[in-house]
Amino acid sequence: MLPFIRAVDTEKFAENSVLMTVQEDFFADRMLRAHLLSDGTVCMTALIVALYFQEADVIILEEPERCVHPQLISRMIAMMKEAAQDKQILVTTHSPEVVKHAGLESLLLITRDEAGFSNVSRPAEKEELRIFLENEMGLDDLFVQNLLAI
Amino acid sequence: MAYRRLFILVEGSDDERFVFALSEPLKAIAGYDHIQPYAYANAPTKKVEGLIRSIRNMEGAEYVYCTDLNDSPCIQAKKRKLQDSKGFLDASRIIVVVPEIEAWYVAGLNDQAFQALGIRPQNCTDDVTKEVFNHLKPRRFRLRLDFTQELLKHFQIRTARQHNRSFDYFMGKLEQLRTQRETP
Repeated sequence: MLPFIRAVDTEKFAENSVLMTVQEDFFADRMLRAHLLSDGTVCMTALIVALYFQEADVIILEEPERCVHPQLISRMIAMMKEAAQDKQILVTTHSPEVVKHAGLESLLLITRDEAGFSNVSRPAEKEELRIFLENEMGLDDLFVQNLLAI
Repeated sequence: MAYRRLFILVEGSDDERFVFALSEPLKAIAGYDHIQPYAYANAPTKKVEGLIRSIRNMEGAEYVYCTDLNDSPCIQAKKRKLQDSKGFLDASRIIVVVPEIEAWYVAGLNDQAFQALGIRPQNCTDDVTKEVFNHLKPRRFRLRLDFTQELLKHFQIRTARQHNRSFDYFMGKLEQLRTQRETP
């Protein structure tokens, strides 16, 4: 996911905060502080720490696809599925790529009803969606065209 | 009784917004539980074909396919041209919008609405193209989107049927589908 990164470390910062530093192939003689890195690198590093190094039964990720190249999203979802073997992972997203790679069985759709309340439904339980998928419409298409909620 | 869905396939976002704004009255008039617009302009033909096949296999679902007349000489020619490229469409489900969706937006205004918006009254919008529409837009509407939203606020289906023949055909088609469904 982060092919140029050799090492990740942290250093104490102001108050009780911690600053992430990384060592890249291109700058092997120094540690780069997080503010010099791209948002995608920082987010991906944080995601890897959360998925593989954090001792928690439940991990909640808000729109993890932000700042991540679309090609990497399938790998990111594969990592989440792997990590989900022994923990519950909840992910919110508006990304068709994430929806596509997550798969129908993993999806919960949240919509607002006419009174403004949130409704949570499981698209996998809808026969109509099975018909769409059998007819070569992708989950991402159905999401983009707002057909998951029909 | 099966849940009734009507998929209205339209070209782009202006058309989609139009259908979405009218979905509640259309549901009541045409007897559907749900109206689902689908914008096909950026969708590959294969996906549109998949959608049509899905609808055919779905209980209680029907579709109409709306397309602009554009530079075709007549409605029949447009339908033929469309079926040459999208043979999976049923000719009876194709609605040709004459000349473009902008004409339908304007068609729903009555005399009071024309006056309130400061637009020259149009008794027939069969010739209202995008260019004419843009010319009709009063200067106080900086954005085209503001203007279309305002038109929808004043839109009346009964008036639109009198002002645009293709919109009248569209509504007639929905009524026809309802009659076919409800006739034993």
